[in-house]
Amino acid sequence: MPIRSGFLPKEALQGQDLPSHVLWSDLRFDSIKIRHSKGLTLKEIYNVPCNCCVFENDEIVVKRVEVDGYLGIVLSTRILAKKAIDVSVEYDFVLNNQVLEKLVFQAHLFRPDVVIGDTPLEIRVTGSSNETLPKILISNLGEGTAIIDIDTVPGSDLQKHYPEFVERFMREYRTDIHFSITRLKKHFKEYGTLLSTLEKYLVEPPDFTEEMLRDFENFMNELTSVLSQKHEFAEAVIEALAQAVLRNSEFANFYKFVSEYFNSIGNEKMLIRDPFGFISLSKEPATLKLRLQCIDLLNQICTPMLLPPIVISGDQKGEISLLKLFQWGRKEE
Amino acid sequence: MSLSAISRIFKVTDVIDRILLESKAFDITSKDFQLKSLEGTMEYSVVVSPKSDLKIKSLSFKDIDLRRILITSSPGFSEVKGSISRIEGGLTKGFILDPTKLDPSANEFLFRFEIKSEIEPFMKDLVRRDHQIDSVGEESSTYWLHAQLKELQSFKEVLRKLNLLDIPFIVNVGVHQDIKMKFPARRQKELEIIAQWARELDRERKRRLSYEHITLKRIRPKEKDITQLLRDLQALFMPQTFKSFIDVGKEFHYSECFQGADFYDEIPFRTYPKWMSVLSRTDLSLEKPAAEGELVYKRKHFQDAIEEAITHK
Repeated sequence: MPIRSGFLPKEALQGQDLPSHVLWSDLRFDSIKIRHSKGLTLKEIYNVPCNCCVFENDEIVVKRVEVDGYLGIVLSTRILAKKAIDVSVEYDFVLNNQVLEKLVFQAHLFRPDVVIGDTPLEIRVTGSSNETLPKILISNLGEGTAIIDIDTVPGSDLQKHYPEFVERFMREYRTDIHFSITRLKKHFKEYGTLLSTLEKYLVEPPDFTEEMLRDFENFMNELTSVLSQKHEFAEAVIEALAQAVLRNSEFANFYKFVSEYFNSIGNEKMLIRDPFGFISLSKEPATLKLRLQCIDLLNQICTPMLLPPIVISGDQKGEISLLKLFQWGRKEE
Repeated sequence: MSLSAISRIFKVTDVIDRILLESKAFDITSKDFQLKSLEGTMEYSVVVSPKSDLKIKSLSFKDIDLRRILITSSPGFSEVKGSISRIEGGLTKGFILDPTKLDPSANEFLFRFEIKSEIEPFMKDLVRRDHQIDSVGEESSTYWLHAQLKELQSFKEVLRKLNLLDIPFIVNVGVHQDIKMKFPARRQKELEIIAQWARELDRERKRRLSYEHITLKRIRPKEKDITQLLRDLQALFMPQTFKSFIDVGKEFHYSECFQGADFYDEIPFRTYPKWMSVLSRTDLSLEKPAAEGELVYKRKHFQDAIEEAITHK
């Protein structure tokens, strides 16, 4: 068989690059024609001289490769209106207008698709255990993971805040992280800048804005690259983080943190980035205005959702977690 | 594409070639180059045939960060000892090769120059690495892995062989849905009650929470203690345990795993990971410029292990 191997991923997130290659031996051809679905764009091509590649609509014609036996390409994809779509890439090895070898690949491109059901005009909070009725239904109809951020907007009577124990934990944690990172910088002088950025993200995760997520993506690439080559650095960073959390986790908070870990994971591949956000409750009804933002695992922003105002009425004074206002997924948790 | 890695590699090989050729004692027959990611070294191997006279003055290799030089002679492929010495003292570091101590009857010598280096910048320049970011699948999740060389021609013209060994890939395997799915809602309720109880300062409310906890426990008196349960669950994320839920196949192999960081959380309440980071590796060469692999996360097995940790005493 002249074709030794060929590759295109079977599935990928919309927006992710699709790498592809073909390896062959003992194969004479005068061109390789690559046909791809609309929505895919050639991003990189390897082992092809600059002047030996012609682009015609959704077809790439490679006249010659530099070293016989290998062609590598990278196609870029983008977020599409459809939450899932199948695309194809075909390679034809042509000699004298005859296709000698043909390879056909298909890839399934998917994304998260977070939707909100009918938003209730009023939510009632009752009893000491803060039962809420009705709830806001939030679903992920797509196959991709969604990281969801819920926040109150200016003008909302009720504003998101953190319980006192979380505020105290964060104050002490920030000091501790600064201490740990400073110590790590002494051991790993070559990674001083990377450690400073790590400290920044540890105490203040990125907002879901294009610019901040792009910076965050660059940081993650650099961190992953260093972690993959410096085992001792990876171990030291993980230990420093664990210690900073442990040192500041009072016994009482440990169970709370475990509980909130579970609360931060919704059904249908939804992750809630802030399970500690609370709003105050009083016997007087108050208006709540919420904004939901979500990103996928490529840090791509999904369309932000501004919910219609909701009246929150309670039967006693207190506070309630914002998460309790939602039903996460079509299946009841 | 940045070709700085190529020029840096050739800068090293040129220095060595020049020293060998300017000695007029050797002809270079072939050149191989290896980048070893795991060891953090580059290895330049040169096969030389000796010219008639090896009675020349010593060769000094001092402008490169050499770790060692190894020499093998052929025929016989035996290691040649005693001809290499380290430059001692002073600020200059390097090695001296004394050709007079080489066997003049040998047909060829293989000189292997091992160079200390950060390998990752070279890998970044030379290799395009991609892997699946998000996966689907009920019983198991498969993450594809792919590596391909960006440049061949420049190397092919000069080198007989180019090997890039143990190219690292980190994949974040999502485990969140499995833990969430298997952790019973009533145990989550119990956690909530304990957490509230521990922070409560009002005597009456604390008493009510105690009562609520006792009532919950009475329904299933033989249920596993929650603290032990949380501890057993934590053990599943130890690398030695978690690796049994991972298979890396095709042209890649498993290297190690560790708990993945979660920078998205607004508050860093790190208890259990939502992702496990799995490090796998592959090799590329001029003969094999692309490699495909797959990382299988045995989701069903992991879910069974979670269930076991929750129920088994």
